[in-house]
Amino acid sequence: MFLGVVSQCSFSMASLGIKPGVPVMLRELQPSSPFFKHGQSLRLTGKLEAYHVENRIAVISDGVVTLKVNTRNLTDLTFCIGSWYQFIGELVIGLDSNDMLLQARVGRIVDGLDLNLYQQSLHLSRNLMGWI
Amino acid sequence: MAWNYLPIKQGEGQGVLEIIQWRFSSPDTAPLCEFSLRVELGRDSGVKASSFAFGVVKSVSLAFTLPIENGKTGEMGDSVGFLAELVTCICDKCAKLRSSNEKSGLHQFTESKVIYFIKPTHKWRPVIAKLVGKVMYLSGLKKRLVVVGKESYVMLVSTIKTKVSLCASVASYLPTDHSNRGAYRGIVTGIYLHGAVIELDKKVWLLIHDTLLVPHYSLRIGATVSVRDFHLVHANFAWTKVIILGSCVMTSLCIDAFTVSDTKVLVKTEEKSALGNFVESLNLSAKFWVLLSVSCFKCKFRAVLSDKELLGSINSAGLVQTYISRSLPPDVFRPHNSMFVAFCNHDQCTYSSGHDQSKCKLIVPLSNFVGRCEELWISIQSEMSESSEIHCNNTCDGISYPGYRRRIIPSDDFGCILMGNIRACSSSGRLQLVDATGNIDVAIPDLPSDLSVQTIYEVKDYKVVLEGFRIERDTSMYDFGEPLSCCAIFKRQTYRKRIHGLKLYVQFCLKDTVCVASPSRVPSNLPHSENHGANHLLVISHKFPLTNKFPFNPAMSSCSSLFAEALLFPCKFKRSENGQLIQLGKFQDALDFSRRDHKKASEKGPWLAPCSLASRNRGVSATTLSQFNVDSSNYLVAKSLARILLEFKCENFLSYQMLRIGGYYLLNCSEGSSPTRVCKCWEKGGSFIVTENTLQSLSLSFSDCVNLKDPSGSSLDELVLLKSLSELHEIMDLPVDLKSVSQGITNFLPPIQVLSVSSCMQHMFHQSRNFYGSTDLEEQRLAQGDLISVCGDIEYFHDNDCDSVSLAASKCLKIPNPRGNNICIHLADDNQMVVIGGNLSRKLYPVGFGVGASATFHRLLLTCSSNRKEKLLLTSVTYIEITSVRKVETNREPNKQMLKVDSLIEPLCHLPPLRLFSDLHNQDSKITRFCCRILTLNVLVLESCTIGSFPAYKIPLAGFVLDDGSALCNCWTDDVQASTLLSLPGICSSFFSSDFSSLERAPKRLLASGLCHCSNDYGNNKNTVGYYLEHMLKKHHKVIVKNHGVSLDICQDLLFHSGSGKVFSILEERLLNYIILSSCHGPTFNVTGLVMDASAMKKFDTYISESAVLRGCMQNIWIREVARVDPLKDAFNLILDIKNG
Repeated sequence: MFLGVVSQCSFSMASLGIKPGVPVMLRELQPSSPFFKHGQSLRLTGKLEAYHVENRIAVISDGVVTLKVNTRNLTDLTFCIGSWYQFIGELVIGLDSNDMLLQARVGRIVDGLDLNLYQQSLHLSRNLMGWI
Repeated sequence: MAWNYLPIKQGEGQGVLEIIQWRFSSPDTAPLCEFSLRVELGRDSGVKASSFAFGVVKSVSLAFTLPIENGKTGEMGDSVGFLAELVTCICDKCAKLRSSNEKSGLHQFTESKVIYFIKPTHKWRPVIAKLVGKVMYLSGLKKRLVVVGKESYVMLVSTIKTKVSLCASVASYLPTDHSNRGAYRGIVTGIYLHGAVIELDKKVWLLIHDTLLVPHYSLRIGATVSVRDFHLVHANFAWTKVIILGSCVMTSLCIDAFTVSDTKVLVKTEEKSALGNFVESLNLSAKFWVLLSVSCFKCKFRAVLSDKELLGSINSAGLVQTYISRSLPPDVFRPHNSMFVAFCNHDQCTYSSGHDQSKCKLIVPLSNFVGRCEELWISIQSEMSESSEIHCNNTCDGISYPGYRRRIIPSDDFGCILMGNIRACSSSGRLQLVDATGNIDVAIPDLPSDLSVQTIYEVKDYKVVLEGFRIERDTSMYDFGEPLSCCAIFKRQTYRKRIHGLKLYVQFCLKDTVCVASPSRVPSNLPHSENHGANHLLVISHKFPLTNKFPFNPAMSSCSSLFAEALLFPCKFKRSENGQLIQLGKFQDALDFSRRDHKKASEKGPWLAPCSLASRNRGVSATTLSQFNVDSSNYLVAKSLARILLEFKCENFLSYQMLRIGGYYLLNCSEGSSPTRVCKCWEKGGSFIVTENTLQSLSLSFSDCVNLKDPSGSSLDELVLLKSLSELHEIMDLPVDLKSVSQGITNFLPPIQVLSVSSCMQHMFHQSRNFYGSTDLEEQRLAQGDLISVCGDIEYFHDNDCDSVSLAASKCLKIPNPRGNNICIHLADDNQMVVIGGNLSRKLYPVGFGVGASATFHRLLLTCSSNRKEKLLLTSVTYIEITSVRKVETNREPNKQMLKVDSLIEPLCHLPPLRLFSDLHNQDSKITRFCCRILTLNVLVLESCTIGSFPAYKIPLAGFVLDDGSALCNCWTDDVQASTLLSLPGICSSFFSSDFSSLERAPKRLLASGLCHCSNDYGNNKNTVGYYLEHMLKKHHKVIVKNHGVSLDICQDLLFHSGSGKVFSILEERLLNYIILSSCHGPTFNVTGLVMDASAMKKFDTYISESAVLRGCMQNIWIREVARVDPLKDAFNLILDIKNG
């Protein structure tokens, strides 16, 4: 209910090469987490802390965890420090585990999102739907 | 388009597809992007659908359900669907073509067509809503006749074959008249009443007709929304102007940007109640007003009434609906149309056409009203400050006080309706209009005795009075933030009274009010048949004001009581079952009882004969008794009336408020219903606790001229707060006409005499003559005197902290609140003025008390102060009755040649004539002025006293021999006058530097002798004579100095008497010698005084020594005023004298 339009339908996976972006809270993204894998598709939410125009890297944070997001592929998205953003993309982990980056393919502003409720519903749907 | 697909683990290929973002590419960037929408069908149902439509989507309705009957088959069922309006092209080319691919070129879309998307295509609504403004081609439609009620429409209805295609390549041209339904984009600044009212940009108000229109979760405060196709209304309500955007079936609302701030969801969908349906049946401005009123009612009465009582339920109407439907004109109601009718006839509807909205007044929450009044007061203040006029401050005794203002504002200037319960405040005893948000003081000239506390009154016609002293502070510091704005009402902002100097109250007549609701639990007070006991007839002789006994203890103030004194007539009545009043026992019997002690009891007492007693509103006429025979013993009867004290607990303060001094009431007493038994009320010093319904007002009219007087006009310059008793004749519970026996009953009454200011002056003058010399000098100065009642206009009043007389009086009278302000009231009539002093707490000022009020002061103390000045003092029993107030501007015209009468001298002549002592025996005027100096002393009495905690001294008596060159004269005086004559406030350094000792040595020696204060706390006054006198009197308490010398030149034979019997030290004697010697042959004084007669002199005999008689001064004068000769002032007075001829 937080998302613009949600529709449920049966869908064939075979024809699609894009992996599903698993919704994960940014604060859950620790090296011990099962989602902390190179190339993992994720949907992450965080507050925009900084935006570097020259390389189009956005820095988002949630609690203590911060993450760099490469927004080169995103068009039509304005960046406003302090607003909340949600990105879907693939995680790129460098040599150092601290050096991680999300290669975003989808991004949007989610200002007004009730984060607590979002987290609760995330847990519920994880259990119900059995997302990985 | 952005999307995310999430597979379900166990779902075997199933998952959730989330569309994150989607939109149509604009024609500029991708002109050939086309798409189509159709229902997936597994089978061909063979439905014929040959109609098509080609045009621009203009508006889309909400999806709705309605029962439907198939015209052909007669099948019944529910139909879900929505309506879309398409502006189609009617050119020949389009009419022939059947396929969207063939369409090209320029089209003119002019004709409006309505398409009914019925199940299963109703799911397309979000898509079609997004397509508003785009050119579409719809095929597979069916032309159907839809009959709604009596009207029928031919419209295109969707089928399962319907296909929608977007024609992005077609250039569209819309005539302007099709796009002028309005569009607005703004930020949500407020959501009220579960989303029924939305405020945008703090400027416009969006009325939502159906909360389904609103995207519930994303519509929050701070979000940017755009609204299209609404009705724009400029509503001019009585108190404000509002821009309303009214949503209707065609309106579309979408969120352009989410809110940045963390705000709550305020939109809720509720089941339509009776009130909801009622609101929908109104036009837009009335609807807005009703929603505002609902909000007002909710915050005003949430404490008294339940939500169900207030708002009603699904089926029944609540208080709000009954009230509103009664007060709204019939033209605001509009027929309730179905979705079809509303959608199809949208452009012809008169949804927004207005009525006279100025009739819609705000049912204002009282706290907001108080806020508005304060805001108004500040604007009045700043307006006045800006005006170029010089502020004319009032002066009293040479001290200037700030100006006073009163403004009377009619209700029309507010555009508000006041509503609430009328109660008497339990702490201040004042009448108030109360709601859950606050209260406001009220003055009701026609207060009846049967006022119910539970009844909610609606006051449309009222006057607001704002008064107070001019605010010296910067008024820009006050920010009220528009207390009457719609936003403040919806937000239910409450205001606290912030300007303490402002007195604010509302005057209205109860006959002009409407009773909105009275809860059913209120017992009907109509027949009083439940009153079993007897009724006493009584007249109120005095009301005691609320004394602030425990001002700092709220727990104690809650149990405070109010009292009234009443005189009980010696007769009893009983109300029979049919409402008649029957006399119990004979008047004669009762009287006999009460005058058992009077030996002169007349054989022929007054007797009673039946007379008519008609009651108001009951329609029952009662025959009874009351006739009082004219009798020589009437005076005796009046004397024998039993005096009882009525006590009012705080829950019955309202009964106290309705009592009027001089009014007649029937008191229901549970005792004494038997004709033979005598109840306790008759006992001397009896008291009675008044409860609800025990007092009934009785109007006794004595003559024909009762109603001849015109009702007092309530112009804007003068406002009546209290009607006279005769004017209240109509509203009394029991009007009784006793004109046939008027002579008897008027004689019967104890005199409640109210003096005018002029007659009060005369009274004071006569009193003062009696007082002369009669004051016992040995006694503590107690305020003694008569209690009188005075009426007049309050010319001015101010705090008076330095008035020692009233301070002393208040001490003596033990006025309970020591923190009460010492005030000085200037009471005037047409030509004279008196000053009333005393102690009155600001909290206990009666409503309307201020400059320009016409007031009656009951039981003022007329006393004589130490300097023989007549004083009117407020006491703790003084009851102030304000009858009317008038408008007061700061820039008042100068007083109408009014003389300030502080002392008796001034009213007679501003400056008494200057005489010689030698002329004293042959002059007629008693008050005279002399120019003289002190020759020698006769006697001087000094006494110790304390002012606060500090030691002080006073001079109860001083006698001098004065010389004016023509003759000698014995003059007597006290206190201030004596101090002036002795030059006592002077510095005594000369005392030390003169022939006695050196300046350096003296203090040490004084210290050694105990004369001087030993502490290190040397004040500035240590060198004054007074300082040393205080210490001397500590030892002796009282010192009497007598002059036994015969010589007039030098005081040689001074005799000192100590009150404590102690011996005077040399230094003490020197000090007294110094004081007396330095005053003799001193400066010249202007002395004003009165010749004393022999009887007054007797009091002073003990102080006059034989030697004084030997000196041969035969004339005696009491000095009232002393001043050093001021040559400039004298010259000025001389010029005035010459001018006046």
